[in-house]
Amino acid sequence: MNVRTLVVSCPDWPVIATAASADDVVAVIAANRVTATSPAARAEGVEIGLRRRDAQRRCPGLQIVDPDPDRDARVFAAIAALVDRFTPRVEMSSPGSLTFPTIGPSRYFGGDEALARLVAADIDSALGSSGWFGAVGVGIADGVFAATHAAELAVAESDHVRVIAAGESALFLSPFLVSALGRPELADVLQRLGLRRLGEFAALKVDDVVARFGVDGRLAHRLARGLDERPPEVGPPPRSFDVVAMLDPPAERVDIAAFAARTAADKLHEQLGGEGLACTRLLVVIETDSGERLERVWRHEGALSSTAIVDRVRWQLDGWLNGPSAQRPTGGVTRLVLVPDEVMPARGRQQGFWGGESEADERAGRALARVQGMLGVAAVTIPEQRGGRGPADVVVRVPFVGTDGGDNEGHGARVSAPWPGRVPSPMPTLLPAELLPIHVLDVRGAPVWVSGRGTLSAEPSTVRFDDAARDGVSIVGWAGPWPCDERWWDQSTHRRRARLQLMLADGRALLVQIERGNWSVEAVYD
Amino acid sequence: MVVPAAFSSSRDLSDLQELAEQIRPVVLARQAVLPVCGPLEQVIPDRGLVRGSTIALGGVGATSLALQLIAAASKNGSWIVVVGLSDLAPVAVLEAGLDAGHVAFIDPGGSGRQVDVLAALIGSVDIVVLDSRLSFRDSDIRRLGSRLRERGSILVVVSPGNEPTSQWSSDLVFTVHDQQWEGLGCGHGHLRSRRVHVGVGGRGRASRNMQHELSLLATDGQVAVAECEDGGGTVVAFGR
Repeated sequence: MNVRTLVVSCPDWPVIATAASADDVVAVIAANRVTATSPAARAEGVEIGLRRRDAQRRCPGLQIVDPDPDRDARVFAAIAALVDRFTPRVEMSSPGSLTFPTIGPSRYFGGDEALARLVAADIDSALGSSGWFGAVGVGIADGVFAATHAAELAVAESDHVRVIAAGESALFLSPFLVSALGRPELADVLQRLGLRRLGEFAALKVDDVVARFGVDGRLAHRLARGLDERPPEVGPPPRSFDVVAMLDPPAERVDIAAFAARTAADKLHEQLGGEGLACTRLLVVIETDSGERLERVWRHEGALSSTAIVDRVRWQLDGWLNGPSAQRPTGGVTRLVLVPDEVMPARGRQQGFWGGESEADERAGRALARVQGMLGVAAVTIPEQRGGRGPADVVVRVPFVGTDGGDNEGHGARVSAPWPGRVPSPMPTLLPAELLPIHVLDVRGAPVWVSGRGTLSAEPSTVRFDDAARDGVSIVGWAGPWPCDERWWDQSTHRRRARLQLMLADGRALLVQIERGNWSVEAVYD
Repeated sequence: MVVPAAFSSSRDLSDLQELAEQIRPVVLARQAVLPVCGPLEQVIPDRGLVRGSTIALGGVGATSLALQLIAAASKNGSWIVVVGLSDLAPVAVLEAGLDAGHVAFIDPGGSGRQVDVLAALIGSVDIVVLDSRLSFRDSDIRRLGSRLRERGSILVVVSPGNEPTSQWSSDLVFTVHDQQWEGLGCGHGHLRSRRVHVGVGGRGRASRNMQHELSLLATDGQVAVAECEDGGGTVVAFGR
């Protein structure tokens, strides 16, 4: 279903934004091509797409301006503000063009035609003060594409308005050339197929178009039939729940700033509660009077209550004001912003009766969140079962996000697949962060290696560590090799290795591995 | 004392004594203890982990013993936070029987804020497992120690492969030595269980040093059984 849409189009906008008057001979040239001209320049024969040198030859007095999209957008904001009086749902597509659905304003202002005239007259009088009468066109049609073309035609008309009746957009578009779709490659193919006009393209069957031109062809086909690629956004704009607290005089101590945070947190909680929302992720921004700024995102599995928000602000302040002196701010806290980063419908919260979250869990959760405030979120981790063959894969550490009785139960209880070739239980207790290179030698002192078929070249007899100059430690027991060829289908994560369990004469037990011919200690049984 | 006729037989009396033993308050004000499993009860003079105490473990095999020591408390719902020990394998932690929902690891890295971290944890979690390689000033240790006794948390200081730390004034010291693995042959089998000699010392009732031989055995990844042979030759098996 298409939405009746009004489009305001101002093709000369890049020139108007330079504050030139309509009588000046001006052209905007980007990448050696003319991209916009003033009416006076057009009268001299300067056309869009012309090269700089050609344009200057046709009109020696031409003023050349560099393109500046920022300037265009900045000046156009004033025009958008004019249209804001008709509807709050204005969409800006590019400087010089804006769009809104007419469904409400049209009825209020007495129909599409009347609305279009009002908009055109308003903008025209604003532009007229600098001599740009008639630079703008207003079009109304079913959908943005048809309305844009109507608006571009309307610029040339006397009252600058072109309204296409409901349901007649396809008919209106049919005489346009296929190049109007704005897809040069597609237009080229269509022309060679003998389809020169949008109407001819629109007459094709949808499935044929999809079969030949794919998804993009289908979108173009929709446009040619007077349908929209996508309907304009018609929902009300999302509300911002940010709460700002200004501290005057600046707070030098944590407790003073935390007191201000309490008021802000209550306000935020009230706002969210009024909408039936709960905050699960909160961004806390703290600024000082000397311009330093600390942002931190706080997550919570359940919803953050207002006391929980105050706690987190206090921990963040505490971590900053009392942290290492190099990172400590030099001024007092002047501004505090609470931004609810992620909200969800509030489901309410209940303490567990049997199991679930207990008071002890909540206490531990608060302590861990506080440590996260000091060291960062990634410094506090909890175990999570993943499944795998090696000791490092079966259970991994994931960042702690909050204690929620129901959720935490899942961490240990997850059923894992059998994982044939898994390192047998008991698992090693220590996993060095880096693999420690070693040498595994046989009785004669020659290196031991594992063949491609997974057999040892000789019985291992001693282990020599790189760090020690000693002869090495003799092996009193060993098992393996346990070959392991994992993720062979993915080149970047493929690992092919073989493991050995070793028992050394000094009582230690190791899990060692050979990968690409190099032995290393993977884990230690301590 | 007048004994009612119905209870006069020695069998009834022993039943009564057993009942009295059962309904006796388990936690006395003097010793609030967290449970440990089976034979470790025989090894520890207070038959459990006394709240507010500091325990040091060292030697080859100290990590496993530390995990066995706190596993029963974890199953009982106590929170355990490991500070440092960044090479501790989380799989071994769960295999020892710790509850995955009540364990967290903190890596202070090079932040130098281990004192603040410990101060935040003590009183909020039941057991803090500490890496002996993290350095503390003596004044911090005294302050944290008194906070520990006041708030009733337990500090377990682990030194894998080294002597137990002497920096912390520990109430209980375990020194593991003579680790002997079983189940691994030359080219066959795999590591199954081990026998370790554990020296238990410390302060108060633990001050007379005792030597015990323990067998730590893990089958099917979950159940841990150990035997304890002290001077009298008692052998006790323990499980979940």
